[in-house]
Amino acid sequence: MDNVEKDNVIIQKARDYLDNRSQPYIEGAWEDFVEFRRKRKRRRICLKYGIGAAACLSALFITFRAFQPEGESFQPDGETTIPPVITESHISPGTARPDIPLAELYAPEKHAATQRYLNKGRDFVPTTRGAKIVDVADPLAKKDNPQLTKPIDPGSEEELDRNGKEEMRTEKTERKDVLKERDKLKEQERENWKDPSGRMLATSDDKVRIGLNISPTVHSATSNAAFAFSGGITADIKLTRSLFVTTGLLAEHQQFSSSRPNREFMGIDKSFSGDMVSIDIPLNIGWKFTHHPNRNYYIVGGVSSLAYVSENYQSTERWQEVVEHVRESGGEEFVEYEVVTREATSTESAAPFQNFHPFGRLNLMVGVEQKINSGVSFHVEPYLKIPLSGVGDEAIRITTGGVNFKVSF
Amino acid sequence: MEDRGALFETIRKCRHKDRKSEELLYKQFFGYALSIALAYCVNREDAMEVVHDGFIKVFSNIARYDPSKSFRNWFRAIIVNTAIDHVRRESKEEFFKIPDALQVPDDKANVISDLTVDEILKVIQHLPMNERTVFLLYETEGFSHEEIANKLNVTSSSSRVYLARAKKRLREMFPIFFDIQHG
Repeated sequence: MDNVEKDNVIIQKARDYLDNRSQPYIEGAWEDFVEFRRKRKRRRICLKYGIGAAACLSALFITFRAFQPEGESFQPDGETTIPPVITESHISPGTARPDIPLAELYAPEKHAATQRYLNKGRDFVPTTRGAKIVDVADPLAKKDNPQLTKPIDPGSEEELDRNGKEEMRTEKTERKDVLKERDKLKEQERENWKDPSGRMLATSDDKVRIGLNISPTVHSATSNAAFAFSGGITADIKLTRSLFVTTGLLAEHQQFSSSRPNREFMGIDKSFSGDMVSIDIPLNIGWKFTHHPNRNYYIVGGVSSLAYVSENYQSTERWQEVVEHVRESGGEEFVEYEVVTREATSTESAAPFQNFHPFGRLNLMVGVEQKINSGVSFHVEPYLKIPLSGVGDEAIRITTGGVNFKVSF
Repeated sequence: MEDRGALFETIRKCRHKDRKSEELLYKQFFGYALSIALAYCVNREDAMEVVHDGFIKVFSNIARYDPSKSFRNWFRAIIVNTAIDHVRRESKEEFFKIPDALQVPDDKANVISDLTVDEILKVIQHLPMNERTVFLLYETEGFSHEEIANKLNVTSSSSRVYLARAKKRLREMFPIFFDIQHG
């Protein structure tokens, strides 16, 4: 017997086994199946409810912020406190500084002058309509049927088929016909899914896939960076075999801080920080450049529109002043000059949804998709969001980088 | 014909989520499903999981069954696809467990035809998972190498190699099993 004959015998026996053999029924298998199905169903329901609850909470939060009365987030205008911080003192007995007029050092309009001085020195766009200056450091889940439970022995297949072999032959013929027809259809489908080089591509996925996103991010306005989080729901809409469009709603927590030298006369430094929550509405187009059943790679690019739900800014400026003290000792007048370091902090906030920036950011992303099972995939997407315009009430240009983790289904 | 009519009646009731009809259909086709699953899986527990998964798909998609076609073939396609899903999940662990080549005495080379169908199953189960799956899909289910490559996330050339290796390994393994089974 040569190898081909051996192979043919083996194949024929394997086919006979798969076509005709039937294992005996195992007692309790149906009950096990019912329990198995119940667990699966419960798991699916839990997942659905979890997603629904998350979506409802997001919607409630947005609605609450949108309809929050303006008066609650606003405080009376323009109060800036200036706590004096003495860091250095210099006494020059009997010496007067002719370049600093005494009248100006002790003038009652000193605070007003300081305010003008602070406003003049700011490196961001001054607050516009609706924005107010507020006070400092405000913390914000067997029925027994004998007929049915009776074991069905392996011979029951034959009992079901009274025509015996004839029926089996009919089934085999039908099966061959079905296989032929299916092969034809699949051949046609394969032709449609060949790439230009004639290489076969994988079968298609769902038309629309919903994704749940969470992403640790780093925001940078100038040289300093701050860590934050973003998350939300996206939808991937398939256009062609390789192209897809992504859109959705992502809540993003933005933080940034910047500090620079204060170049005004006797200035020390200026720092500016922001804490904002925005709704990011991306409109991206993606290109999947691999088509494997389990793992695929893609690139995504597009723009984002931003609506700000909350904006809180804090500005701190430090400078020095010379204060003159006159004292008398032993009938002689001494003039003491003291260098005082002063610090001014102002906090600002803007009304929810006051600022909307259509196409305010450019999105660049690379991604890898790993199939978890037939319906669920896990994505890892490193990204960079580049500002196209200043965003928020203070028109800050924030560059954002991070890694987005997404579960799509 | 009467039994065929009874089967269609059961299927019709299953479409309406009739629990007793589902139980009847389950018990009627359980043995067939298990025999298919056992060919693809290494152990009985895995095979039972495939059978359960397969029946969930059968009951949830029974409305799509075309009564003009054979139910047995439709059912078989679902069980085979479920088994392939299972193989894909397990493949990462199994793909590298390839046994050493077997040395077979020449005087045992013509015993293949004496093996029973059940013994055939045991021999097939001893093939590495990738080779077993490719052998079954190509030789018994009629899939092409391109289709197998697509389903198993391998290249079609790999599928051809796996099939050739499976056949070689089966030729080598049958005489050894014959010795074990028949003394």
